[in-house]
Amino acid sequence: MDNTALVKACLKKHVAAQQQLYQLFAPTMLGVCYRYTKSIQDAEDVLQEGFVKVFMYLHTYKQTGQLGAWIRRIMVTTALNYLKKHKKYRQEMSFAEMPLHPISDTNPQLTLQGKELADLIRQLPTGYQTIFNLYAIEGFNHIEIGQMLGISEGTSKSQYARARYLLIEWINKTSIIQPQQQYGSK
Amino acid sequence: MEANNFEKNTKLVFDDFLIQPSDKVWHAIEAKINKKNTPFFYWLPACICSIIFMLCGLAVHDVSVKITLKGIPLAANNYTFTQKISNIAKQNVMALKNQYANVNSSNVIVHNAQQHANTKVTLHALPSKKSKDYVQAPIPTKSKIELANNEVTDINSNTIENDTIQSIQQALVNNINDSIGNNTIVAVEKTLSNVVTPNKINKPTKALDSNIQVHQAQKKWKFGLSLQVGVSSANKGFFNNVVNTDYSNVNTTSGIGSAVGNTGFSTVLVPSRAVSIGAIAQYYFNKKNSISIGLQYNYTSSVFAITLPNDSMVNFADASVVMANNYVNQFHAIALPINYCYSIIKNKKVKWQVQVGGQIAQLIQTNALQFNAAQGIFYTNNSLFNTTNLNATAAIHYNIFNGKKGAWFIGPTFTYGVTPLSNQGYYKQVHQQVIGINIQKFFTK
Repeated sequence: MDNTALVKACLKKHVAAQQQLYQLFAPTMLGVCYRYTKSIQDAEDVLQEGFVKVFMYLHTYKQTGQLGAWIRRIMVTTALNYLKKHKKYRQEMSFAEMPLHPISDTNPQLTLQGKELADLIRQLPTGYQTIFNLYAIEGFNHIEIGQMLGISEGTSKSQYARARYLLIEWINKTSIIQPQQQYGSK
Repeated sequence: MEANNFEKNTKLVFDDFLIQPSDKVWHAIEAKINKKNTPFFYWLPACICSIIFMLCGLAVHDVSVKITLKGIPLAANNYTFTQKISNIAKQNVMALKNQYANVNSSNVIVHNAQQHANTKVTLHALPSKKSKDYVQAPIPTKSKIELANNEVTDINSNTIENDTIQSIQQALVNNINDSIGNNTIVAVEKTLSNVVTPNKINKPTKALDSNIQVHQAQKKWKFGLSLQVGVSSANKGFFNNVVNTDYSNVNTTSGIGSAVGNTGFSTVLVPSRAVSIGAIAQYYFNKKNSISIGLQYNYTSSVFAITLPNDSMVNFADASVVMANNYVNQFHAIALPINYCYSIIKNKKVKWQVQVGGQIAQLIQTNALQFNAAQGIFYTNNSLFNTTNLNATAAIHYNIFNGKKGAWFIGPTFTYGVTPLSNQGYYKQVHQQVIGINIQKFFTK
């Protein structure tokens, strides 16, 4: 069943189709949610909330775009709302103005696999983590990020620079500790 | 890796980053997106409560201070009138009081001058001669009155001098004024047809007697009946439906029913009717604080809604389960409720009563089905249920009527099963909750 037929079946409330849609996208989307949260339980909570929204607003999905991208956008929005809603994340979401840190030209050999890199990203403070995810992985620009998080473009840039710097340092350390391991970059 | 391609490569790393979610996530999603519409009767109590609260709010807003003066002798002794004044300014109220204060007081003594809840301010008129000879009527419990000069006079004594009477009368007027306070809505009712003659003083009227009895009854036991109707639900936590889904291949014939093949059906417990009826006894420590105990029969239920997929082959030995797709789990219990009651008094009458407490309930009978998710079978096994349960209750009651024949209270109530229905099986850690309307009728004797 292609995605168009799957969506139509879901709109007719066919449970089997709903489950098929979920099984098709849930592992990828949990990977997205995992990067925004600090625990797998929270990631599953976001995934659950996100998929409820997906099925609730599926009638608004225009068949022209990629279904996966549409669902991914919902997951990211749900994750951001989750971070704002929960105290343990909200307290770490301080976007204080800081001097603009120059973007380093350092580009480490990325030998880590997704899980290891995601775990490093999750060690960043929530604010850094969120902005890094939105800019480096989702591909939003700093103006869009500023609008999404209610911060200025400059704050987004400086936070991203700091996050990138920390992450590269940690990646380099990880690579030194485990030099013998060869991780595929993809 | 090319320079400045850190972001690009990071993105590539996550292209194939997959994590398999646990099964419970889909079950929770499915329960939410395919949730049946809440039955109308589930919201009915809430609607009724809202309407009652609104009406009560209006009633409280428009409540009036009512003072009844009996037997004040005026120039025309047989003169009778009833006057009701609404929405008048305080100064007008005061003027009205002064009008009563100017009544010739040489032949007036005071009964029960202090303001008691449910006890009317009563003036007994006496003949003009030898008033002290007639001061022998039964005096209410609280029989001291504070005079204008702050002296306290015990009017329980058999003799009161005439010159004291005037002070007492003035103090009564002061008491009336105090009771009016800042209220601007006043209804004054004066009836002279009940002028008390000397004979009647020695033998008090029934009306006065009943007033005293009502007042005294508030300090002791009250007995009544209680009826509660509402909806009950069996949930994990607070109103989270119990959902269980089975997608396993099964082939079993045990229990009252059996499922063959890929069952793929889910079950969910939805709220259903609840009724409680019983007797209560309430002991008043004082006007505001009391404790009620009782004995009641509780009927609670929840509907076992079963969703069957089109392509499944499910066979049940119990045909009623399949035919209806809904099965009513019924629980019958006898309970001993114990509640602490706090009365909210307005204008010296109990208007609201807040109740918090608990009840010990003994399960006497149930037909509830168990569900084995692993095998996909329904069966009954009452030994799995906890027979003795502890419930927490909270209620707020409004006094809709309080008269000689008793008092009526009505209001919303909520009961939460502190102990789960069962510690094993389908109802493991499932708690019962009941929300409804409670009606209580208390008798005066």
